[in-house]
Amino acid sequence: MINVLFFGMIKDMTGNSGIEINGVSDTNELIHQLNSMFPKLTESVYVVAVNRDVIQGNTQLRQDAEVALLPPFSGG
Amino acid sequence: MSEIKKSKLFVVGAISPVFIADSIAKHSSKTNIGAHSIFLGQVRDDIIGGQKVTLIEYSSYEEMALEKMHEIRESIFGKYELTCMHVYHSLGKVPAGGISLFVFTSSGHRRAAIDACCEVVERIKKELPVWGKEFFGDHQYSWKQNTND
Repeated sequence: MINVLFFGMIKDMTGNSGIEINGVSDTNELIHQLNSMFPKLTESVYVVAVNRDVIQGNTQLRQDAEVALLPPFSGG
Repeated sequence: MSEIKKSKLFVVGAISPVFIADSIAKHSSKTNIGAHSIFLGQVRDDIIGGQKVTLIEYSSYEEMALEKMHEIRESIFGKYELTCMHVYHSLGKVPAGGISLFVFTSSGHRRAAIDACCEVVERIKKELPVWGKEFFGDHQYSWKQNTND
């Protein structure tokens, strides 16, 4: 079970702070599935963090992974 | 105790000026310090669609923010000769005019404190997973965007 977390405007857009997803083995498959669940996600700007580290490119996922979709930061 | 530790980062609501003054006062016993540098971020009443921003509501991916802040802290201590460093960021609602970010660096001589303080502020803006929701008018809001200035 992969724990997916949404933040900022992506949390607004999905109407959820997070969901659990089964049956995906990497971040490309996960994003593909999320895009079909939340079509507006394809228009959103974000980076992906796996277990709290921002990743570049497709990344293998363990079944206990925590994946977060992070829109542009605006702290301070 | 080492100053490089996972210290408290988030404060609920605005950071009070009294808390900032107390933080300065606490350093009077550290007599090897010769310079402090302080950055304070204040919520600005930007105009959005003709209406003034009344408050910003901050949210964060807190576990990641704490890990990232620890990483920033370690790299800053590795690069500058600091005596100590304290960083506080607001979560939740901060009204226009309230302080939402407090960065405080101290060193023996001024250059390290000043340069470290600037670098920490820039890295927080770029790397810390924090989002600001700007409220204006009658319950309307938009997501804040950081600029490079």
